[in-house]
Amino acid sequence: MKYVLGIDAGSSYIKLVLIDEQQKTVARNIIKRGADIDASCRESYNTLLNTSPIDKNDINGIMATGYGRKQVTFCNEVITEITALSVGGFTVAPDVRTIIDIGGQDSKVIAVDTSGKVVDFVMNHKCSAGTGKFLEVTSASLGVTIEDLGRLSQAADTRLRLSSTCTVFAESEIVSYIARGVKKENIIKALHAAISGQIVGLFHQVNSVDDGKILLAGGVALNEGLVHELSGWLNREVLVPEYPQYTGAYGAAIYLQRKRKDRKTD
Amino acid sequence: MASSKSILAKIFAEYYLSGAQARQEGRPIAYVTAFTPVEILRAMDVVCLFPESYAVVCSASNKSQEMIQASTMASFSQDLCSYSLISFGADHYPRPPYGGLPRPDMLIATNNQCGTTFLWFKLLSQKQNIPLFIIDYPAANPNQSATRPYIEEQYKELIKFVQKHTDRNINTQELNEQIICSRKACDLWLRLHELNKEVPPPLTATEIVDSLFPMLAAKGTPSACDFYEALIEEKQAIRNENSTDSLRLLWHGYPMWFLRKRFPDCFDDAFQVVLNDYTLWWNLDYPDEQGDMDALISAYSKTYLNRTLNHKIDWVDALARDYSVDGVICHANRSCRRALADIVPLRDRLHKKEIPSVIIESDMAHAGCYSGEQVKLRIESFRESLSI
Repeated sequence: MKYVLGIDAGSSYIKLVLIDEQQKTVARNIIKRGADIDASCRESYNTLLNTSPIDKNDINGIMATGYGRKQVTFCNEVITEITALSVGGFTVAPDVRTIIDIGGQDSKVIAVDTSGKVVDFVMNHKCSAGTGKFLEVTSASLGVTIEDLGRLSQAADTRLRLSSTCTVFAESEIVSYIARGVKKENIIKALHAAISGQIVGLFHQVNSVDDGKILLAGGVALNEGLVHELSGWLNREVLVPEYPQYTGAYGAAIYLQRKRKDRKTD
Repeated sequence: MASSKSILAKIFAEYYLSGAQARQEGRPIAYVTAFTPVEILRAMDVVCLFPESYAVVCSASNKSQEMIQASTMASFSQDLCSYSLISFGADHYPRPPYGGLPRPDMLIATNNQCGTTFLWFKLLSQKQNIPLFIIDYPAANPNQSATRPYIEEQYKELIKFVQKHTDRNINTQELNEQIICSRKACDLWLRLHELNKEVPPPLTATEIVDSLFPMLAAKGTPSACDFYEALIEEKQAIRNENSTDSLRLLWHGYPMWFLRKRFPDCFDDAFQVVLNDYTLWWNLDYPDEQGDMDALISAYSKTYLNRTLNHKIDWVDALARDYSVDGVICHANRSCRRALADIVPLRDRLHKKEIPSVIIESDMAHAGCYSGEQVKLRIESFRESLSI
């Protein structure tokens, strides 16, 4: 059996997915990105090899994607996140026509056609509002972990508004809410609404082929409070894959595997 | 025939020396906005200088960030147009390129391109006590006859204004010759662009953008025509042997003057910008065989940004087809609100025509507004989406 590895060298996390010839994930690993992206990827790769029964010699290809893709020195090829996410998202759910990814420093809305080809995409504006960084900074302000945001937001009982979606301005608004004794659960729900508003703006800019299903990728999709909020803003169901944070890495691996098959066919 | 390079160098040197020379000779100097009917002024022996073009030179000289920072010393908001900020910053910057522009005797502004420049000139006028004349162009529409007398009246007032401040009269013979030269330069400018309808295109987008200067500084003079004739001849003589299997792109909107190639460094022979529609904004509509005021009214009232939204979208859509492009890159230029308004409806139209497009955000002259990695990621992603 031969395997292919996909690496998503994101701005916050390094995600690795190893797939077999049937496109089945056989191992995965995620670590926080260090200052040296290549070293972080190697570390994650070694961990993946050490914790799975797969022999390194059976891995016959490595495709990197993500913000740090060009720093990964041991990969064979690179692709952008847009391609990786479209392939990964469409493979997971072929009836998906829109893939939303809320990454560490970029948010993307990608429209794909019935064959999974990218027909349009829109990315966030230059500021970090509407990205994972926004949640990271603001949750630190509230003294809660990102992992707790979803659970806490479910206990909100009032709808607040964060009038600004600039990360720095939002942070100062949060400080002001805290000073006024506002419940942190309500502030978190307002954060989710702010980020959802940004994403919906992008969603309406992208030219979709039809009203097919929407898939949310990226680690932020593990935040059930945000998924619920986004779904409400879009007034549509939002699908979340089992391992949303690996969608890009999985797509990168699938892409490389297909490319190699195509070459063989040629 | 002299080479295009040497003619361009001469035009550039003459333009930047013209201010000092005018001072020595006692000739009047005017600051003008990009689409001022300079033929009238030049036919009255007025030396025309373009602060917007000077901002471009400062940006291309890697001075934009420092000069814009200098503008904060005069309390200007950083949200203003970068051309104006660079210009304001030049007054507070120790060594501006070419020593800065000399103080003008008058300011002539128009609103046929930009809704901000006449306010910028108004401020200059108030602060430095310089006489200002503003030409108001109603938005262009198919029925030009309704607005023609209004614009003509303003041109007559402009002549009186210049006479009052310079004691110079208009030389109608000179005006006529200028207009004929301007029309010829526009025709040549269009021909130069049209060379890129060929596969592969003989010119890079950078070469075209860097050939724009004579359309401002020397329009209405034979030297602009000489330059474009020489350049066309040179390009026609070179057969481009590059691969024909490439993705052709239209760059919608302003280039990025602060970049070495004026565009992000993500293009190559297999993925190239064959047309930047911005440079064609200078192809003004001078009617054939006319050298009078009517020709000027036609040319300057139908500038690109003075057109209706539908007209602008139709025009870009037609260009995309004429130049057989595979995709369009839309530059959302922070500085230009008028140009920004086109982008979403343009993308909708292109989508209906199955022409893919992508938006990138930056600025025409402010290097501090350029996020290279983000822009490159969008362009590389776009390339992949076109290739796969």
